[in-house]
Amino acid sequence: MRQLIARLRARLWVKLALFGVLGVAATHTLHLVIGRDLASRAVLQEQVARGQDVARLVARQVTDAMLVEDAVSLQEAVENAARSQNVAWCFIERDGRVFASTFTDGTPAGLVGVRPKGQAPGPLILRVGNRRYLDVGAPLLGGAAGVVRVGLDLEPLAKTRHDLGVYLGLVALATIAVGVLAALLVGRKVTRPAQALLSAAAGFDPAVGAEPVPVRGSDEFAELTVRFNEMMARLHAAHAEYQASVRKAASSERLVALGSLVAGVAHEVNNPLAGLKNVQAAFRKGELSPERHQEYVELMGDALGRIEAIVGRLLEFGRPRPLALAPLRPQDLVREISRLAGAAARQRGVTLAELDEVVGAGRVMGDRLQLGQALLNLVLNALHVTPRGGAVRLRCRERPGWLGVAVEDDGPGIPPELRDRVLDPFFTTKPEGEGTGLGLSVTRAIVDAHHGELEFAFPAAGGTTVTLWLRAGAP
Amino acid sequence: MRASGWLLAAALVWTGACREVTIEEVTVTLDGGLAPTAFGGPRGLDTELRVSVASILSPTDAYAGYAELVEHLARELGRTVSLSQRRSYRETNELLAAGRIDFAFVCTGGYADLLRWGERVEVLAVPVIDGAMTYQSLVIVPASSRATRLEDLAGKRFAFTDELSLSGFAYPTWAVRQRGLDPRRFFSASYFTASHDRSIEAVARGLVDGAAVDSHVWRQLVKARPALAAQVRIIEQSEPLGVPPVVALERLDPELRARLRAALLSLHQDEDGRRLLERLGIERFAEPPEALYGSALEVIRGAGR
Repeated sequence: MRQLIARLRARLWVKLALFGVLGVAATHTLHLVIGRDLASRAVLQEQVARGQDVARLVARQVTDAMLVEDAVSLQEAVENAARSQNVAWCFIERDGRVFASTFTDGTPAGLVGVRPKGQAPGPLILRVGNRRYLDVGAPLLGGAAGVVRVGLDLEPLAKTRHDLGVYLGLVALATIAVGVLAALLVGRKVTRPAQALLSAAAGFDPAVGAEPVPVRGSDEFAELTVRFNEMMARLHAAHAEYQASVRKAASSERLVALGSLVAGVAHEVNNPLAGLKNVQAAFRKGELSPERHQEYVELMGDALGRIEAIVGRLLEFGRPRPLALAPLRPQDLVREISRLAGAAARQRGVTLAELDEVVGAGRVMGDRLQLGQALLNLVLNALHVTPRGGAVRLRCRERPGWLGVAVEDDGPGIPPELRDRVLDPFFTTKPEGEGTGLGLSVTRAIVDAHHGELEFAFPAAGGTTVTLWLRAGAP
Repeated sequence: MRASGWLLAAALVWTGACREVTIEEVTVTLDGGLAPTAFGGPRGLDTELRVSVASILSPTDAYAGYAELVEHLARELGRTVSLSQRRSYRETNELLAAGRIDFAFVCTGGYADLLRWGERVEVLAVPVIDGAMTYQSLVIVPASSRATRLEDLAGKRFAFTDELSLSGFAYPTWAVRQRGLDPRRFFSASYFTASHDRSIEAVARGLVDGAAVDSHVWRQLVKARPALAAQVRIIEQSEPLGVPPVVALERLDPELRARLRAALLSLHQDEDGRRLLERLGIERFAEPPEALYGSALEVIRGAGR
């Protein structure tokens, strides 16, 4: 149980943590992608604006110099521009010819020719080898006097992008860590009440009832705990009610069984009564020798003793009692019941045979009287279904760890469609007034109280064999 | 879980869509040789005519005014005409003297200098402005200045335009000398701004206390930038002087010179020409009368150069 709870708890934790991590990871991937994209685009725009500013400044500065072909001023201007941060190049060209340039060994034709002649220069990203540059231009006198071209190195931009990625990644990791921690804490918070409920459910015995699970907090789990406690209380109450009804049923069934026994008992009481009557008649004549007198007195005593024993057994049988466990031998149980039901069997013309093939002297722990009632119920049922001239056999049985008493009858057996219902309360095949239908369910309640088993078998030869199994062993 | 999946997909689509507006990327190879440089390159074809405009205006303003006129002349002559500009009158003169240009819109002072050095140049035509072939030198001060005469500028800062300029240098020097003063000591400081429009701006902004400028440039500026003109006041003006001419080298083919002159003289006869002239504030080009530059040469000589 503890292991199960630990496993459930771990699974819940893992699920919660996983959800947390996935959620945080997804959100931060988005942040990373979007944030980096937005930021790097903003930085790029900033670079474009800066490049254009530099280019325009140079353009304003060099227009006159360009018109008067002042190569020195032009060169000064482009070199000044190149001193700005990140400016990789600056040159002035018109119709493919370069007027001034920061490339001291000559300006690459590929770079100059990247923009079609006379077109208004929008920003371009130029990939030169594995480096990227931003190229912007500013026209001189609308392009008629040439174009100032400025190249900005985008390497710092890439670095900014990278740094931003690292920064956002670290933030994401930190958030994921916090998320996992939060998931674990939440998991703990959620699993603790769940664990309490699980333990209570596992240990709940409707017969005993249970201490209500303490209600913590005010969330769904608190509500669940309240409902759970209520449910346990209802189960306990229902069980008590059931027990009461079983006790009641058992007592009424006992009375029915008594009824069944009464005829036989009457017969049994009759013999000693006849003896007593004879003795009484002899006493009335008064011509008895002292020896005879003594003998008759002893006979009277015997007869009265027998009657007392029979009535005592009946009284004992009819009285409801709490379960009183004591070591007992199944053979004794068989003997007692066969004696109790012997008269009823004889009256029905059915042989009640006690098959003495018992092995060993194993004993069980049980309530002699309650087990007696259970076995009696089985025997009475067997007698009821066995036709006149047939037999009901009581047999002691054994299997590893168990001892049993089997009741075999020569009846018609139980139709397959009814077999599942024989243990239901109030199920009966007897005519109205002969049974309450509680016999087998009471028997079963008694067997259950002894942690025993009821086994039904339907031999091919016919009839029914019901075995009452009890756990072997007694101190 | 599913929701977050959709969210992720939407975000990817979104970022993908946003990527479309980013800047075009081009791969450039640097092994395609070097681009040609502009200066010191091979001279143009022999059929090309080369012209220069003296820096009466700043290079940018001059370009705006003359580039189209030059193109127009090129069409009229059926020749390529290229325009070269320089910062000073002397540089333009030197281009002419070296034969690096064929004709030029020089200023009167520059023309006088060419004559002085015996350069063989011919006046092709002169502009007619407000019905006259003359202009004046104007001595200007900031509108807030208390100066009312040239003498009031003694010990002040003064802006000249160009050492060869008649209206921007020779005239004020001559005028100071006429008053029996030493032009080299009259002003506390003097600067050369290289063009008349920049001189006017220097006065308007109070960078200098006075300047001498071309009346033609002044009138153009009053029209174009009245707010700037309002910040400047004229305290003295010269006698009428011969306007800056268009000159050609005498060694240029006479037939070509004749066609060039004809093209200039007939500019006002077609609509496109009139539009170009109007932009320069010129009514038309005309042949100069005899002795147009007599007074100008006198001022230059009187200035002591």
